[in-house]
Amino acid sequence: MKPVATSAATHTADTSPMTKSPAALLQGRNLGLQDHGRWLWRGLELAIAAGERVALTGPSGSGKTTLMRTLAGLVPLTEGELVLEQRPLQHWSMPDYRSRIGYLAQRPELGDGDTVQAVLSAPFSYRCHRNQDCPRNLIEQALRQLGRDSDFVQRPVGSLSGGEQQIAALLRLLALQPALLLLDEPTAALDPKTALAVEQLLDAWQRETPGRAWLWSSHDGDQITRMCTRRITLP
Amino acid sequence: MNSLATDGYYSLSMTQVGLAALLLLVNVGLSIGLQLGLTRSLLIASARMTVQLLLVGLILEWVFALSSPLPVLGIALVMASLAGITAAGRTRLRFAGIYWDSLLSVLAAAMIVTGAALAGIVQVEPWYNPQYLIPMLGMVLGNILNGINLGLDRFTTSLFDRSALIDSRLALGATRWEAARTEIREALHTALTPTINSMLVMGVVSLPGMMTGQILAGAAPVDAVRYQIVIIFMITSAAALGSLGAILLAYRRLFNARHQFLKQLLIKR
Repeated sequence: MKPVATSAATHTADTSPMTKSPAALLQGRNLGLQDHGRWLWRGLELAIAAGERVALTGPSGSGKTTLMRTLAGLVPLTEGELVLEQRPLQHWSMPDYRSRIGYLAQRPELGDGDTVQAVLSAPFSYRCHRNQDCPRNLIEQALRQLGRDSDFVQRPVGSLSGGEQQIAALLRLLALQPALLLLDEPTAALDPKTALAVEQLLDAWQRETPGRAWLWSSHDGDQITRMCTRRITLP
Repeated sequence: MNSLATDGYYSLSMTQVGLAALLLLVNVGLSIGLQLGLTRSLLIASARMTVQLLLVGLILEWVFALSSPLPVLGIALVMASLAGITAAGRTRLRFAGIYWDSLLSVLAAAMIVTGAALAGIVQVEPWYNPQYLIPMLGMVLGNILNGINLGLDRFTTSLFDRSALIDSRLALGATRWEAARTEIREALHTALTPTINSMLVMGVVSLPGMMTGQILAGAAPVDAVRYQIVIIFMITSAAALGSLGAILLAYRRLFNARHQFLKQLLIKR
């Protein structure tokens, strides 16, 4: 379905395969980011294998959000390189790279669309998703798991609470069927009950197709224990 | 003091011009009374306007006597550069290269439109006839300047205020064009609205300055109106070209080829 992604193997042949761990879905090598002359982090090595549930932890201000944004390709790296599915970032078309990686911001923007339905279908007008359709079944199933009516998609965006906006943004991501999720405090705006439902939804999403993975940042230690098997800690 | 001159209009003395300057007291009074903080800008702008126009009166006498293209083009270039710099200098946010972008857009738009009008429509002989080139260019530049200023200001503030939305579009797989096209469209709309509005009421609510000037100087209203129509079409297309150029150049700077929005390039003045 994504021709660029499937041709990854041909590209790995001409770059040094020795330095790659073959199972890594996303690999960051010697990552460094300078902000106003200060290194936010430098010499950072990370690898997320297919199917892995990884936590991202570190004190406030350690650059977790910036790291997520960098991994999503939104922030240019000062140093180092990213390799997705054995293929360096510079060999990816950026929209295709980003369609493999779903980034959920701490306070997501719904923006384009008046209703939840319009928000969910907006990305399908982009060139890199144009040959796909918004998967209604997946969304209805996800809404059931979250204990919500299918009427939810008819709701005007302006009437959504902070938590509901977060849910809409998560549904929008899942509809695009990425291989890796970057979740920046995904349940921070949710009440405990909805937070648990979101955890269950993501758990089911991850188990549904082998190879799906996430990097999950949270201040909730219990959540990390529940949802992640390994952690990357920023100093 | 007021004597109807032989060539059909009242010529004004400097005392009369000075009396008109008193009208500015209304603006200054409002600015102080309502604490608009505009007094300084108003006074500087008025002083600049007066000095510039008085100088231009002197210079034009000399320019209109020119009979070779190079000095005329030189003056045109200076005028266009000043317009470009002014257009970029009055946005709330700036970025490295904004002056070049503005300058390039002004030059290209003014050259295309004024050139086409002089050579193709009015068919002036010689093509650089300063009596036509300089005033027409001046009117075109004034409108390009406004268009670029409004367009760039709207474009950069929209991108700045909506950076999270822009990033979210990009993160969802949008190309830089897909991520910015709404803001580009809105900025162009903002840039062109004043020109379109003024066309709608032209002659009904407002009598355009150039036409009024020609009529005051004794030209037949029918002739003055024809010139005015040509000028309006010129300034509308030039404003559109100039602001589109500036917005697209700004877009190329603020979004890199890797489809990343470089918000950090936008700096508040």
